[in-house]
Amino acid sequence: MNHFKKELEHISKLPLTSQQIALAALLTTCFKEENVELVVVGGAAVQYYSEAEYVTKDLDAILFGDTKDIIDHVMHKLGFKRTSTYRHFEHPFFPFVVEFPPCPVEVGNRHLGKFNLLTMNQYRVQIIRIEDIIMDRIIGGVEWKQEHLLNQAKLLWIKNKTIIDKKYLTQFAKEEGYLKNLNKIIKL
Amino acid sequence: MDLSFLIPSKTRRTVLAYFVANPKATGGVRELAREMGIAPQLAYRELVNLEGWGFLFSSKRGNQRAFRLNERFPLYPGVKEIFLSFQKENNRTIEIVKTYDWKKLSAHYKKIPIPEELIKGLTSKRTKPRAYDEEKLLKKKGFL
Repeated sequence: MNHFKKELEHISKLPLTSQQIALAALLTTCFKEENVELVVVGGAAVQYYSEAEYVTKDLDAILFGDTKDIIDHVMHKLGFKRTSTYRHFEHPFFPFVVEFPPCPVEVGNRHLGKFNLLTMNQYRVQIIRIEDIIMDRIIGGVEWKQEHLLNQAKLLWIKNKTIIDKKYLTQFAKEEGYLKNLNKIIKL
Repeated sequence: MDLSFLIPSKTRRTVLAYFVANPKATGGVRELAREMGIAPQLAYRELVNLEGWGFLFSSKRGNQRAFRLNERFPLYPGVKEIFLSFQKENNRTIEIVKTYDWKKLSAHYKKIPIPEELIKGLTSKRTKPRAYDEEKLLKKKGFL
């Protein structure tokens, strides 16, 4: 218990983005001990892939495995408590909440099974691929008419265009029917 | 992950899974119980239950009953589909495509300027409140 408290105290003193990565890494380790894999998705992924130009207020992580009793067990061990609405976990050290949306990781009609690994010193976090989070933002932006999601896709493209797998991204957009939207972003 | 949320009885899950995986299997209670790895008494009770529902047939074989699957049971295709989906889900593995060092990535990002108007447009004004009372939460923790 003390070991976790010390680790969490250390993490809470890091800058916000590093803090979230380190916390996700600690959660990854704790869930792995229970044979559950954790993948960071959503706004937190946008934040990590853009050097905090965008700052999210919750850490979304999807868990793979039998998690029924494990979520509470692990989160309570670390000192997290459910918020009043039950879906989110909060900790007194952190200004953001942790949420576990249901498995699987889905973008459009695709179930994703391939992810990136983000390392920061001793921390290791599995995270949705840059190409997939761009598609997630484009699809969300178009379908829900949310301009800010399209802007996040643009931001991710600008920041990552030299390291993106363009063939994969174009194929994904084509299969899902969002090639025009992707092209608009690519031709910025 | 298992099907306990749908079928709470472990014995029933075991028997159903066995017949889905071995649709041509036929055997007496002791023989089937041994193959399924459960106690004969538990197996017998469940086999009789499932026969009652029509999922299994039984016939006399010497002085014992032999059970087999009724492939024409109306819900059999659905049950089969559910078990196979769960099996597929449990076999799903995570594959890592690329590894990034965040510090290097961060240094790379710092060199790339972003137009001011794009930064302003990255968040939206919420039309509905968050699921949790954000302001109250942050005030409570002393962040506000």
